[in-house]
Amino acid sequence: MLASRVFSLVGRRSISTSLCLRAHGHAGVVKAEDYTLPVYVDRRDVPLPEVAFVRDLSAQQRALKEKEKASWSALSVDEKVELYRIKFNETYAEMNKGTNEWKTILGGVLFFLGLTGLILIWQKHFMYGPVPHTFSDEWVSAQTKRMLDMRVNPVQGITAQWDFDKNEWKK
Amino acid sequence: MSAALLPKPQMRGLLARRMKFHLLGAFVVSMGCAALYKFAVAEPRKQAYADFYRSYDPMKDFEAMKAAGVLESAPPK
Repeated sequence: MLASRVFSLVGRRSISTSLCLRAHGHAGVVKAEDYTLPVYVDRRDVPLPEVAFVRDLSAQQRALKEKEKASWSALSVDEKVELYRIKFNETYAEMNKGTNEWKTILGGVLFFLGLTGLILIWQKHFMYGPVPHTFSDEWVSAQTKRMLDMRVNPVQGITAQWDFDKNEWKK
Repeated sequence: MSAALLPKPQMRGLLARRMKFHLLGAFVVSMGCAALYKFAVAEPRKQAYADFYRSYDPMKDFEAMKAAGVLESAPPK
């Protein structure tokens, strides 16, 4: 009810869709658009789609459909296959067949990983400044010595790998 | 095509069979992961700690740390 009120407020013309415009010329009956009708799908979980695959049959196919109304043992193997192909697009085997898409995907992924690596190399060389002085060898060895003196992680960690008697890493 | 009929495929119990397979598999895999972790990580770690503390002398350790100079309130001299 409210919708018709809106119609009168805004005016019929501006709300009409192209479908409604066409309907005005055909005595109010709209031709069903393709997207509103049931469709054929090739899906594993839909074994019998709502419509047959081939919508418009040729004369030959129509003759075959007539022959189908009689006894099926009169049909040859090729005719049976033709009837199948009229009703269905792909067999389950064709539907479930794998593709080679994974190769493309893997190749693309590796390519972009490599490209990213090149970008990182360029960045390290041209863009970043020097690392902090705390990464120098002298600082790191002094740091490690202090960790061993403090007995950091003595059970399974770094101190457990150090031989205090021989003053070297355990073999 | 009409000469040799294909064997009739399994028509029923498909979900039940899949569920049985996956339930069993999930149980075995999760139990296996737990057992693997227990015997590869947890037990060795417990053993390592037990071995370490069996012969641990805290005073000797303290003297060593003090001598190295890492204790602020207990200088080496």
